[in-house]
Amino acid sequence: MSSTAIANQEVLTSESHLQAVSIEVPVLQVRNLNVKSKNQQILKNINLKVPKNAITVLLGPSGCGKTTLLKCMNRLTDLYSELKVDGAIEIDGKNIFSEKHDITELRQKMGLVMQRPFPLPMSIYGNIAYGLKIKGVRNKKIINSKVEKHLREVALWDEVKDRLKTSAQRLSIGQQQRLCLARGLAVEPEIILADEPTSALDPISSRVIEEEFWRLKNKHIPFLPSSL
Amino acid sequence: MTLRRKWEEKFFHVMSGIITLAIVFVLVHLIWSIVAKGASLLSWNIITQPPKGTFYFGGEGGGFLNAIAGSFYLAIGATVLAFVVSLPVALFLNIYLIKYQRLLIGIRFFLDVLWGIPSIVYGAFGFLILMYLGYRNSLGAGIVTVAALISPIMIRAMDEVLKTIPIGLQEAAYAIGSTKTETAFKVFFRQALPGLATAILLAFGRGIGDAASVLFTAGYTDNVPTKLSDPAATLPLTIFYQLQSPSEDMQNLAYTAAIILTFIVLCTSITARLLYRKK
Repeated sequence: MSSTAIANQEVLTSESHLQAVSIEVPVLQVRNLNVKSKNQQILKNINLKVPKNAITVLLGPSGCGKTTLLKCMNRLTDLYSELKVDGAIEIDGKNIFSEKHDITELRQKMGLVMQRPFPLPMSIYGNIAYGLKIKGVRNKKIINSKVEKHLREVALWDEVKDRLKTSAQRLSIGQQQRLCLARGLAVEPEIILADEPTSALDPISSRVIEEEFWRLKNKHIPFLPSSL
Repeated sequence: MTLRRKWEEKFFHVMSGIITLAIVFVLVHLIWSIVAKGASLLSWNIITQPPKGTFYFGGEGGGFLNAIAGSFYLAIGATVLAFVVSLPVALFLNIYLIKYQRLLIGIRFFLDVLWGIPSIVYGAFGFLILMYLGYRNSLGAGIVTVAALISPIMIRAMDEVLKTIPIGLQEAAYAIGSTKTETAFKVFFRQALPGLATAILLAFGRGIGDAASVLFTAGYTDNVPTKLSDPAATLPLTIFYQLQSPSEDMQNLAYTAAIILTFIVLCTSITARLLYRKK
């Protein structure tokens, strides 16, 4: 399978490069990861170390398995029956595929920004407050201030501050993508998985998002695949 | 175009036109016949009073309030009960079982079979259980039987709505750390709300119009039921009994009941349509 080979090769190269800059304690480590669907091997023997406080980029042609690798990292692969995953992904030394791992906690550690934005069927405010509420934040003042803070971070606050209570699904696609990033940031993830987050966006929205990733570099570890 | 293709085109064009007209004609004729026979007896009294002594001998004194109220009590009760069962099932199918596509196909097939079972079978089944438990015909028994009848319809209608929710939205909800229950009730439920309302109304429409399932279970009475253990009259059964009468006045009363029932079902379907379009 040529695409598999490319994915494999590409990931291996990135690893050798990363090792060159010497990673003492990788925040995330992938060991011998294999993902198979019914009649195709999607990922083959992936080994990868992701350093702290840096942006790691996966490059590869479309269809080579970048999205699948990201979906493995927060176990969204659980949703697909046809995918057989084996190998290990370790975060802080713990394998995320082990039975004991709390899956909602894992996912809160990993912010995900997808290729296409999917705002939740709630207001703009509700979208950001949702993540806080399920984490157990009840204090209205804290929620209000966090909503404002994260909307400012993605440069959306000025555009939506007068209509926070309107449906998020009525925003433009660029605004939705920034909202989804803010929604991900609100749960304070340690790692941000971004799956070609700017591919559906206009140049200005793209710039805002990319700048945001540079800014986040020191706090979180963004992880950005983009197609070649 | 060759001659054959031209004829083929013309033939199917004319044919589908004729069939469409025929169906519209049947519908108009149906409504016309119940209106022609029943409209003259339609009055304020007939929808606001239960039947009195002379009602069954010429249509004077009282009306169908027993059946109208009974039908509403029964259909609303059954819809509520079916909703309590159907929503969790539909969400379960689309959230917990999303991984097991083959099992899902099996369950959906099974529900479609249940949908297809004639309502008299549900009636007979309800009657058996009633006998076994030693209860009489009652509103409560009717509600349970009709709920069993309309649950598969409601589940499948809700299921079809939930199926259209993109997997990306589900992933987005999980990615922020939602549990499955939170995804079900806070995300899927809201996203599908207009469609779910349509599903509920569809099931209600089916429930209120069904005669066979309540024949043995809810019974019939001239009174408006006041508790679950009272028997309850329903509009479909009113039509059924009145039509059996030898007197023509009585038969026309059946058509009046048919107008009321048709009107209720029509209003329900129109509301369902409007709700769905709003989405």
